[in-house]
Amino acid sequence: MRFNDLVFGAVLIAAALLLFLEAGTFPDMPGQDYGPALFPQIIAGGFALCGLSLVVAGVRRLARQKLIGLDPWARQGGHIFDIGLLIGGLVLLMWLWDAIGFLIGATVYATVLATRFRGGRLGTSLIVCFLACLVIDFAFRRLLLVPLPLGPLTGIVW
Amino acid sequence: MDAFIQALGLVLDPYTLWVMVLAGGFGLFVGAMPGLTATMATALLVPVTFFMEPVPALAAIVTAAAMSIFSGDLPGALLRIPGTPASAAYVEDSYRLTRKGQAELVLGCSLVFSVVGGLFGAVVLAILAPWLAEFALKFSSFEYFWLALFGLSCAVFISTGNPVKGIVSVLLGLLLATVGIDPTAGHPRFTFGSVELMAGISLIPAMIGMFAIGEILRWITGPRSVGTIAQKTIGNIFSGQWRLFRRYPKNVARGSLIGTVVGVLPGAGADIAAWISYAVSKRFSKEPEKFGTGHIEGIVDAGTANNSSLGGAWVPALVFGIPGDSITAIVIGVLYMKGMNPGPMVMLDNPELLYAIFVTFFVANILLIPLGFSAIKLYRRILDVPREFLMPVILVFCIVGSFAINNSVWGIGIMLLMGVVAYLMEENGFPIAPTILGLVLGGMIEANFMTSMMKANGSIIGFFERPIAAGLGIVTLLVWAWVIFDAVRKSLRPAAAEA
Repeated sequence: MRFNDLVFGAVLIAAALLLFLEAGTFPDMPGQDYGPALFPQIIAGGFALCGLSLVVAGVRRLARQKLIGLDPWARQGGHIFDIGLLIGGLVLLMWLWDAIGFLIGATVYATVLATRFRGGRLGTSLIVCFLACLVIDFAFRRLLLVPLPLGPLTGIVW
Repeated sequence: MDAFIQALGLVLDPYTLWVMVLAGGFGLFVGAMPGLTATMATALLVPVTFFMEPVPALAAIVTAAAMSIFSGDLPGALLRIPGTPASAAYVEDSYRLTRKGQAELVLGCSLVFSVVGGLFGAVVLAILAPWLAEFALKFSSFEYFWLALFGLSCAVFISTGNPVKGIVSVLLGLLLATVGIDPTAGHPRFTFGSVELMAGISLIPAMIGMFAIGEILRWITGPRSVGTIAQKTIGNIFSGQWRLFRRYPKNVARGSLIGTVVGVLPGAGADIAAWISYAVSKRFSKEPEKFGTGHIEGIVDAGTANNSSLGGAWVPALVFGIPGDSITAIVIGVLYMKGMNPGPMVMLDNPELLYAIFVTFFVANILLIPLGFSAIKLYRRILDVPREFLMPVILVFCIVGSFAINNSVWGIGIMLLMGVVAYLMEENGFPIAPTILGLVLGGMIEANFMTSMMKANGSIIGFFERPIAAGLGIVTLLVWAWVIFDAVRKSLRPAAAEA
């Protein structure tokens, strides 16, 4: 996804403003006229200057480049949908992390993605992803003692 | 001497050697897969190294990085797709040589000169690091502030065609580093009431996100196809290498030197080392017209340089805590995670660790010969692994890795967010390495800046009163002057052209 520099410039200027205002609420150090706000405000100043420069560059290029554009590859074969699936699926997995557990959640998530990438072939995707998640779960939870949740499988697996 | 013998024992321990062999195999696999980089290999190793002792953990990273930089040459020579960005400089020459039926010569050259470059980088690291560490003991907050700022400046200066976007990238990293409790006054900043944010942005999930998730997203929106191998069977790769060495001794020495120097410069890694070395090789070649048409000379230079840069990059990382490239940025995260603050005190507190890293570099580069040879022979099988399975499995691995750092879903969120940010940045010409450097160095820069401000009673002149600090300050300001001058010149150029 390609944005005209004008978009980035505007976002940076807005971010600089917010940063400056938020940092202005930080207290100074006792006996000094600077404090925790100094460094973020220097960064905000940098953002504002770079933002202005990008706005100028973006305006110059506006005739040749739209505000938002897509790569030819990204437009092909539902690639944007695939990105949405990856991000949306991961947000859902995080939300259900404790309820369904890692093994079930990750297997379903990886299987959905693999099936989609392989053009709808579910059977082998399920087997491969289940085995991969099983190995990862065993390695991290049993061998490395990472407390990955098991959800409904608590007391059943390993 | 005792520390060296202790280090030798730590590295030659069967467990460490096994870890190195496994990490080597992993690095070869990742590097050989087009689209997966050496930095991604390192980022994916972090969750596993989290549970290891420091020496095997660092040995795993050193080995995986060395192997993946070499194996990035395989798809370059056989498919015309560089496996990692470090192989991109000479992909045209190596592929054309393969098409001429000389795949053995190219792959052998990549392997042998990678080992030579890697060993040279290791020697420089072993000599330079202890010497610089003694020197660095005299540094105060002023010198550290300027040095870290110089590192960031180099990252902006070297890594991008558009300096403004490089500066934005660095500032973003610095901003992320300010999240959490402020280092001098203890005031919470940009935490929005979140307890998790009080501890700051967790470095490892952020790195996994930027280097692994970003690449998965790029694969999804990219062409996804790999193409066909230009030469099916590979014969004796070592034949003719000695002749190459005798024909191009200057190129080997020059490539090693350029690679190491570029590696030492903060922010520049194996890819930039290879590009510069290839360009220098062409500039001083007796046959510059042959470059890009299937000529081995540039491959000797750049293939040596990209591996020698790895050792060089560890010099500032170990001595000053300033990463030389994105791989050592991850290493610094690992060292912090293990409670070891990189810097000159490591030499005094943990000399065996420093020596162990030197020994690891030598062992890893020697291991590269048998493992690299096997990878060349098995390449067709490596390529047969379907990316449609591999990417979801890597994603699951990233999820677990990000969770494991703090045992919190928060880490997964950071990983996802930073992955999306990295993807959008790269798509729009913003380099991501300066963001990582900013994130790693932000705390150090701010803490040293604020301490120096207090020592100097808020006077900027105080930053130039010590001779080394003054020298570093002036060099840093000159770099910034050049960056700004270059940015203004570039922004005026289209206007002039349009007029």
